Amino acid sequence: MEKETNTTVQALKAHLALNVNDVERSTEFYKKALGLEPVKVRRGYAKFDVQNPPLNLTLNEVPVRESGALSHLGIQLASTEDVLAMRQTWLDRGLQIEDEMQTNCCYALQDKTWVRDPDGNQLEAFVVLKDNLAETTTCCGTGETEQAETSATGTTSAATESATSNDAQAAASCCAPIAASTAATVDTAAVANVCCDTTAATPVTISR
Amino acid sequence: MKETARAAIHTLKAHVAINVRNVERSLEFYRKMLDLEPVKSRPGYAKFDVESPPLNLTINERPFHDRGALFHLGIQVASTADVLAMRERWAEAGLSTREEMQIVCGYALQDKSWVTDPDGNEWEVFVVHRDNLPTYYGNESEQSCCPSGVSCSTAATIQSTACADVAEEKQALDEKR
Repeated sequence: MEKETNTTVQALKAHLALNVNDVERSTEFYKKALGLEPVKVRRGYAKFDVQNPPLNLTLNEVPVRESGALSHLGIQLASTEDVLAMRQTWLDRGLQIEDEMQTNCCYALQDKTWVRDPDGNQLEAFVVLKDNLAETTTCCGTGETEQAETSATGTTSAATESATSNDAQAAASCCAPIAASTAATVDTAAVANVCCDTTAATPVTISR
Repeated sequence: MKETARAAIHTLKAHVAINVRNVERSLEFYRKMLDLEPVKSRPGYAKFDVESPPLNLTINERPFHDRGALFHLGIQVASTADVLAMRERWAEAGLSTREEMQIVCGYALQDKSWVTDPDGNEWEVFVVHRDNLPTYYGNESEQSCCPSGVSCSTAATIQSTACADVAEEKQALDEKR
């Protein structure tokens, strides 16, 4: 918001209401992911009042087949150390994580790790290391050096061709893990190579 | 977060990434809605770095069928005056608003106003007056609690039975009284 807005509207929190197939199952997941108990639980409904970062998150039991308009969710952190701490916390709580370190995604260099909720929605803990990279930056690399090396194998060049053939789609793909159902309408070659596609991603070894 | 996690992990913002069918069209909407320019705009992609409330919001041009897991979005504010101020600003920006004042929704007494993005996703600006009420809906606003695109009646006939469920629950609760 602009400064003017800040003086006239006192905003407390962003609010996100999710449709979930099974609220109890999702509540269990978000308790672990957020390290927090829900503040309100009713039949088919739960609310998490997250302070850090500020978020009013509600789960609403509604049959849902796909992520639909929801690309993914995230918690933006201050440093790679925070990402690794969150990753460890998630591991300690029994969540399955998928790492993407030094990834060029959404025109930004990031370190991140993903968890997936019971309905397949993906939640990332991430830090932005370098933002506003140029449009020419391929979105699917896992670091510039590695990208160059990979292109020799043809893997990255295939992704680049797909990106060139459909810039908007490829750019969007980069920033979103693949929701299973949308893949049907998306070019499969592009989907197979998009960055942040944790369904296709190779786990990255963390050496730090 | 647990106290230990809170001490150890420095969080900045929640991040929500939504799929949109036309990023240019959605950009225009979110500029008006947030009263903010995107910090990053690329073909098929834009990012709004919202400070108040803290939110990293990205829009991603990508085909999708329906709202799916995204029920709705919102901005929680401190008072009814804030709801009205935001509503006024939205109206001045040319957005069409829909008001719901003094309604019980999500087991809470609230004042709110809604706008709808070009893909039909609804955003509410709302204040919670009283929370943790026994019923999901208030008597006067049986159907108003759902975002307009998924009214209770259409929700029941399409795929979303939650509204019907809560209506049944409410009826059951009423009968118990």
